[in-house]
Amino acid sequence: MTNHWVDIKNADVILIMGSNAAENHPIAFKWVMEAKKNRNATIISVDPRFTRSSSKADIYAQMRSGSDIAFLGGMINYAITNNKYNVQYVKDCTNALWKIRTDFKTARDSGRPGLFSGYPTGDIYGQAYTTTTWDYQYAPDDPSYPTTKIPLKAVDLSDPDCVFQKLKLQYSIYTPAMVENICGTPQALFNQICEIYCNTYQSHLSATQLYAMGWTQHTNGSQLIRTASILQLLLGNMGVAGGGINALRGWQNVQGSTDHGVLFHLLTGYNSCPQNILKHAELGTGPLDPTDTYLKDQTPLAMDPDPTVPPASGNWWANRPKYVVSMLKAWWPSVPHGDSYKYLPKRHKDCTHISLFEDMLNPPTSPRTYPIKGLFVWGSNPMVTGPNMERERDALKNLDWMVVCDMFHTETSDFWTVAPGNIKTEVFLLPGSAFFERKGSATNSSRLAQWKDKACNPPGEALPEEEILKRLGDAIKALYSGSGLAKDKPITDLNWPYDSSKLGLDLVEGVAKEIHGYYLDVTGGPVLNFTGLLADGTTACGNWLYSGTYASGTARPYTWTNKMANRIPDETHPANIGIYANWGYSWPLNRRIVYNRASVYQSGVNEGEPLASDKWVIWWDPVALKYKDGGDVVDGYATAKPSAYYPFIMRNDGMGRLMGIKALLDGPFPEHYEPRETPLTTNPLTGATFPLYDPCVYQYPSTVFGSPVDFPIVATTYRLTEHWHGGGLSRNLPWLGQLMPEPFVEMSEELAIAKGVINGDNVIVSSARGSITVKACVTKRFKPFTVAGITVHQVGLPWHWGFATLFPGASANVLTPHIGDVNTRIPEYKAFLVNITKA
Amino acid sequence: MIGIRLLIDTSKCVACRACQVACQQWHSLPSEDTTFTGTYQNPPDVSGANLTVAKFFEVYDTKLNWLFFKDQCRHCENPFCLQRCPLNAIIRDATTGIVRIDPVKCDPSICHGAETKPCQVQCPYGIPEYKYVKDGSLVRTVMRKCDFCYDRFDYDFNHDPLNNPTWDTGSRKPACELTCPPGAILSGDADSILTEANNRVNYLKTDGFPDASVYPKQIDDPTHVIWVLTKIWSVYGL
Repeated sequence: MTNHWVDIKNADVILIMGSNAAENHPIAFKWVMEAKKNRNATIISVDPRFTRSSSKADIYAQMRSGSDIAFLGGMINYAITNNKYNVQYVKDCTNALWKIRTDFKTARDSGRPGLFSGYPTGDIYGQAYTTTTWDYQYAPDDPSYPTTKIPLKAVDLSDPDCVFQKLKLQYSIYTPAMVENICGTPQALFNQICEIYCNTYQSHLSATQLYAMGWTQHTNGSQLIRTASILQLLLGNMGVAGGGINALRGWQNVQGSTDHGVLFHLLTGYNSCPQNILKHAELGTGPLDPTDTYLKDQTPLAMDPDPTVPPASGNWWANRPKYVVSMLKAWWPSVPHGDSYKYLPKRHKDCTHISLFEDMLNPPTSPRTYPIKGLFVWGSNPMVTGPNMERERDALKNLDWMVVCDMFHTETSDFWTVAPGNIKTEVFLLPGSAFFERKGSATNSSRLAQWKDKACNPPGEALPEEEILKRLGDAIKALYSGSGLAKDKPITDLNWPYDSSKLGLDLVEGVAKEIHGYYLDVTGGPVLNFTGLLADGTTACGNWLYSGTYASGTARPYTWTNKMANRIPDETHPANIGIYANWGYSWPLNRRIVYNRASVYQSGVNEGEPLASDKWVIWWDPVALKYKDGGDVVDGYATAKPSAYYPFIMRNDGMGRLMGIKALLDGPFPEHYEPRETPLTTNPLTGATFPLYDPCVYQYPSTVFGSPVDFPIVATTYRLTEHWHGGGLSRNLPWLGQLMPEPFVEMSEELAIAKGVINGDNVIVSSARGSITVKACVTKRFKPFTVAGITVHQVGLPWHWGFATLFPGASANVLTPHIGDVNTRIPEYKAFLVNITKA
Repeated sequence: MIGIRLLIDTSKCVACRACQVACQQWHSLPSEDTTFTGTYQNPPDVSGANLTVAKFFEVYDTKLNWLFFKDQCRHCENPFCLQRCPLNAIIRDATTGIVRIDPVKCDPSICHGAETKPCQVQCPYGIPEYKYVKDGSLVRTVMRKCDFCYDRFDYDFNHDPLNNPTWDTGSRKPACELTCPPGAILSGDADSILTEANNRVNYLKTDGFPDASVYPKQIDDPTHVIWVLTKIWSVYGL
């Protein structure tokens, strides 16, 4: 979340789309109700199905799964054509005025509808764009500013080369009529939503967006989030209280896990994992390295139209070398960081979920890749949650061994009991522990790290996961001890699990301290926060984002203080916007609303005044020359007035980007494409047969897709309040199981009549991947759509079930395809094709 | 009215059913056998194992509504169930107004001969129940219904109301109220809670719910459990 849970109460309009917050985040939903009660906020629910969230919304709009970009693109078009965008904010805080290369073409004027400039000729899916044209126009480099590129800036928004005009052109055909044609949402209702939502372009109002997997789990999920972000930037809703774009995380600590680099392409703190390419061979020092290095590649140059006068580009990622070097020193403190960099595994291929299982199924044969022999499964149940589940079950058969750490037998640990054939995989089930059986920090969607104590010990031989990991690491270290081989040094030199001589004996606290960071010199002690980290190898820090969570003081030596354990439940903000600064600690630097520099006027007579004074976040006092006490932690450069820096310091151009500059693979602007499986044969936006779906999507060679002739019904999947994700926990709890005892498919009364199905009947749901038998839930909450002139039915399936546990049932993921987002490969669980017959 | 009152605000309820689970947990009640019958509502009704059940209604008026109603004992000021109990097993605490069934005195096997017992016949809301199905077998237990979690309070229910006319729930609340994520459940002094309910109804009437009302109508049937309904009472199957 750019903002945080409590901040939802400050919103004037709440768009719940791609999320069913009342169902999946019922506790946090109270802040939605708070906004309704205290600010008379309007709640808008946009969903293919009328949900528990819709039941509490002022306005509900139905929209076909997979058409979200058309809907949001239509809102962008509405804002621009009706002059309902925040002109001052757009000029000051976004790259609207920045000039784009004249050879860049949008999907409207490229001559190939639906494609931007740079797509290879020939209408072939799966190719990569040449992104050269997706860039600013630049002035010649100024040798006085070697780390700055100098883009050209237009004088006003009417300049045909500027980003704003490109944006306007790109979305010019996303009219209400087009939205109705693609999404199936009536124009009048769509216009009503646009009117209410876009009204927050006024500075004193704000709208927030609550989204979750309903936006991400599409082949164009990343672009979908971009569309929503562009809308928020146009309306001046980013960085302000009650605004932002807010991803509602679905697991207790999923935010923490991504922060700490569990994903294959990331190190900790969102630094990229080095790749197995020549320019990542050496660590280097930064962008001015004479030869190609990892840090030269990864450390951005600032972009500033006029580097000689403020505002300047904050370009916070210029600090990346400090963070990477400090992480290397945390892991291998006795090794020069240029050497320990080479200990890091170099990424050589895609290792996302689907790719891993495809690799298990079809072991790679090229000489530089090796088959996957073993698998650790922690806190995960892929034999319920993975797409194309029966295919993934076959993949597990090719393993030599698999270790599952869980509290119960799950479909994954017991896959061999139902998979046909002679299975050689040796499976180990380690008894793990429940969240209340271990202590430590958990980070919620608000980026808020909260420390929890252990309530009781795990039963029997069960152990906390960190203890299991420590013992595993200890055993591996012991195996390699005494080896003098260079190839073993990443293990023999490893600081495992952490330096207890400096950080104390408690495992969990010691790791938290290492994550926070400390000085390696003889004085030692913690750094204060990440502003104290250095790139010279004298500081160690496991994750720069969390640097600040575990120290206090005004000068060295600082004291170890666990701020994640702060528990003062008092509001600290003078405007009562719900900051509660002394409860837990949110990264970065306990900032509760990121990008908050954009919440004040950037220059002029009212420089530093908040856009909305009744819910101000930060406020620059021009007399005292400082920000007012009690405000949120200023987003970087906390002593500098607003006009000293461009507001978005994490971007090297300092601007919220209405147009992405070589960021995503499938276009600098989002464009509507159909899901990979669609009931349509032409793209309703362009009328073209290519590209029907996202042209850049990677298609695994052996995945099968269904045609709308055989599988005419759109399907989506989702979770229920009553069950927890893969169900390994909740389907073993009788109290929860009796509430939702078995799986079902929700369908409209119209579809039920057409199929001769009565509520509660058993029905067979089939896709090109497989079929399942589940109960029918015939409901008014689904309605058929009219899309591109045809009637399209949609159904929905919760996917918590599998064959194990006290409450077994068919898995909806038998039906879902092996296809993922162009940029992240998150599976397209939310839109695929099925057929339904009465069982 | 003297005593305590519980308010259930359906305009805030999202039917997450945490109240159902919290109720079973506090009362150490077992789960019962269920199947999916085409609705989220499960178990279908209150039973010997579930003292409260959220009921779901899909209703069209000017637009589609999905309405939720947490059904349970109303704790009538004048409980008919108590008046007709042949075993004198139903107790009303005069100070709080809580109506509960004494599990020692209640014994359906020796009560009135029919399957349906006098308290069930008398209850206008169809609440008390002593049967449920577990592991395929019909289980008969004592008659059960909401007891307001009276045993969570720092309050002596064996008090002499003449000498100890005040009640105090301390910091504790009924299990359903404590767990309710959106804060749809509120307990407190009977008159204050009714005032709060009327305030909420008045607000809802200005916020798109012209038919909002307090249920049951307290003039005719004063109760210690009340609801704020967003729609007319009849659409909730009441």
